[in-house]
Amino acid sequence: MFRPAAREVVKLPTRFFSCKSEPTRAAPAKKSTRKELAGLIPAFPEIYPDFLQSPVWNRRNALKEELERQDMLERRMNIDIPEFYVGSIVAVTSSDRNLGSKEHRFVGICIRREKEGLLHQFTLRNTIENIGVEVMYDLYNPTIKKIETLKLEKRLDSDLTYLVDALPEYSTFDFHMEPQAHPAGTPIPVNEVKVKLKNPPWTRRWEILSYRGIEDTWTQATPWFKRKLHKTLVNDYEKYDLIANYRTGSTKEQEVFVQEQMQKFEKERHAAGLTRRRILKSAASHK
Amino acid sequence: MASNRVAASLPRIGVTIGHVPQKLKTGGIEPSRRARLEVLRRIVTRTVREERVELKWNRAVEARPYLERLIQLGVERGPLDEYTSEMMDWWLPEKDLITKMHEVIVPRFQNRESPFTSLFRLPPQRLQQYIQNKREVWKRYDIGVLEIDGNPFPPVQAENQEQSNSILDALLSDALRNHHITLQEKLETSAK
Amino acid sequence: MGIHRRTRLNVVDNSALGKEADTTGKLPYCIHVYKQGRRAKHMPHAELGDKILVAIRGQMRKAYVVGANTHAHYRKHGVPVTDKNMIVLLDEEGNPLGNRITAPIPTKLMANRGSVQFSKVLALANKYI
Repeated sequence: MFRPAAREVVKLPTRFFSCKSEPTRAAPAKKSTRKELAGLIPAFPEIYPDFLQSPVWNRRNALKEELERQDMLERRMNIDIPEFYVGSIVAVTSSDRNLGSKEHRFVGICIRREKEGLLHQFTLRNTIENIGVEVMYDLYNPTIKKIETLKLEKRLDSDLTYLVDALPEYSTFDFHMEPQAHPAGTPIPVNEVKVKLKNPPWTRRWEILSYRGIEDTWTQATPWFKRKLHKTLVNDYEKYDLIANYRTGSTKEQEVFVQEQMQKFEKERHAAGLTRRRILKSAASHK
Repeated sequence: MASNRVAASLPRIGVTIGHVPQKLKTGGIEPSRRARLEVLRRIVTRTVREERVELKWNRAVEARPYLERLIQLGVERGPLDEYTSEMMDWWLPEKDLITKMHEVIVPRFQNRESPFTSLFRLPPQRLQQYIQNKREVWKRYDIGVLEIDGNPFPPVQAENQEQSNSILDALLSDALRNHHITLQEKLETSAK
Repeated sequence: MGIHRRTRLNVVDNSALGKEADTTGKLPYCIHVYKQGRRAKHMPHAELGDKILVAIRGQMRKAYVVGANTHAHYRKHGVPVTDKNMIVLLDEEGNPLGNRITAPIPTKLMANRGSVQFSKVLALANKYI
C-alpha cells in the first residue's frame, strides 16, 4: 500500500528516552486508580501490617514474600484473625500442653505489632495481682486457637511500650470482659487517654521521644537527664528525609497488588465451596 | 514510630533510587546527615525556582527523588494536607516557592504519574584546582542537568531531525511511516 | 535485661528472709547461675525455671527463677514476661524456704515438674498466668 508523502504534515514518532520538556507530554498519564480502588481498603497497612514488605530495603525478596503470603492466606482460612490495632483489647486462646485443661486464655491491651510476613508478632499487656505481665504471640503460630477483639480502638501512638513505666491502672483489664461490638461502617474510635508515668527510673527516656499518649514527661524526668539534654543527639530533622521514609515504607502499587491477590484467593476458595470465611475486610468500610 | 499513620500510602517514585543514601561532600559540617539534607534542600529549592539546574552528577542523582516526592505529595494530597504542608515548609524555605509549587508545578502534573523530572548528563568538565610547585592540579567533574518537566525552556536534547536527502533514506522513512499508519488503523478498527 | 550477675530480684514467697529483704528495700541480687553456658568461662543468663545463687541480707541462698523480665528481642511465643524478676528462695537442702508463692507464675514452669526439687516449688503456687 502506497501513500503519497506528506512529510510536512505528519511527523514521524521520534523516540524520547528521558526528555519530556513539553507540557503536553510532561509525564505519563495516570492509569485509572479510582476504578481499581473499588473493593480495596485504604487503611490496609494499619490493619494488615503482616502483609507489608520488610522495612529493610535490601531484605525485600519478592519470591520469599510471595511464598509467605500463600502460607499466611492458608492459615487465615483456618483461623479467624480479627482486625485489631495497637491499643485494642484482645483475648488470645492458645493450647498449652502444661495445663490440665490444655487451653490458656490471656486478655490484654495490644502494645506492639512487629515484623512482617509469617514472623509477625503482637504483644499483649495486662496487670495481674499488681504484677505487669506481657505476652508476645506469633500471629501465625499454629498453637493459637482463637483471637478475639474485645474492644476495637486505637490510641494516640502506634507503639505503647511506655505502659511498662505507666501507673498500673492504665494496663489493668478484666479477664472476664464482655466483647464490645463495633458498628460496621463507622470509623475506628481513637482513645485519646494520656497516661501518667511512674516516677523515674524509666526503661527509656520518654521525655525526649515524641509520644503523644504520655502526659507531661518533662516535669517528671530526673534533673540528671534534663541536664544531659543538650548533649543528646536530637535528630528530629530525620523526619524530613522523604526518601528514608520511602525506603522503609510501602507503596500504593504494592498494597493494591497484595489486596487483589487476597481477593482472588478468597474468590477461589468461595467458588470451591469449602468456606465462606472472608479474609480481606475492615470494620471502618461499608461492606 | 511514635505517631499514628493516618493518610494512605503514596505511589512509587518512577526514578532510580539506590538502597543506601549516598554521602555528599558537605565540607565537614557535623552532623553529616543533617548537612546532607541541607545540601539537598538547597538543590531542591533552586530547582523549583529555576526549573532547570546544572549540578554535579551525584548530587543531581541524589536530589532527584526528593524533588519527585515533593511534587508527588502536592499532586496526591494537595496543599491542605498537614504532612504535605509541613514538608513543603521545610523543603522550600522561601515562601513564594510554596505558592509556585502548588499553583504552577503541581497543576502541570494533575492526573499524571511519576517521573516528573528529567536528568541529563553533560560532558565532564575539567577545572584547575590549584598550582603546586609549578604543577597544575586539575580535577574532573561529572555534570548533570536536572529539570522539572514541562518547563518553558527549549529542550535539552534536540529531536531527531531528518537530515539526509538521499533517495534511500527518504524511501525507507516513507515506508516506516506507512507501516506505522497502517498499524494505527488496525489498532483503531480492532478497538471498535 | 536478663538475669545475670548483680541483677536485682524480687522474692515472691512468704519466707521471713524474703519479707525482710522486701521491707528493708535491700533487694537480693544474683551472683551465679547454675547452668552450662555455650561458651566456657562465660556465665549464661538465667531464664524461667533456672536455679541461681543470690546474695540476700548478707547470706548466700540458692533460688529458682519463677518470673523473668526478658528483652523484647528474646521473647518466645506465648511465654509470659513479668515486669520484675521473681524468685523463690531455697534452703540448704534444696527445699523452698516459704510455704506459699504470692504471685502468679507462668505455666511454662510446669514443664519442669519432672525435677524433684522444682516440683516442690510448683506445689506452692496458687495461681498460674
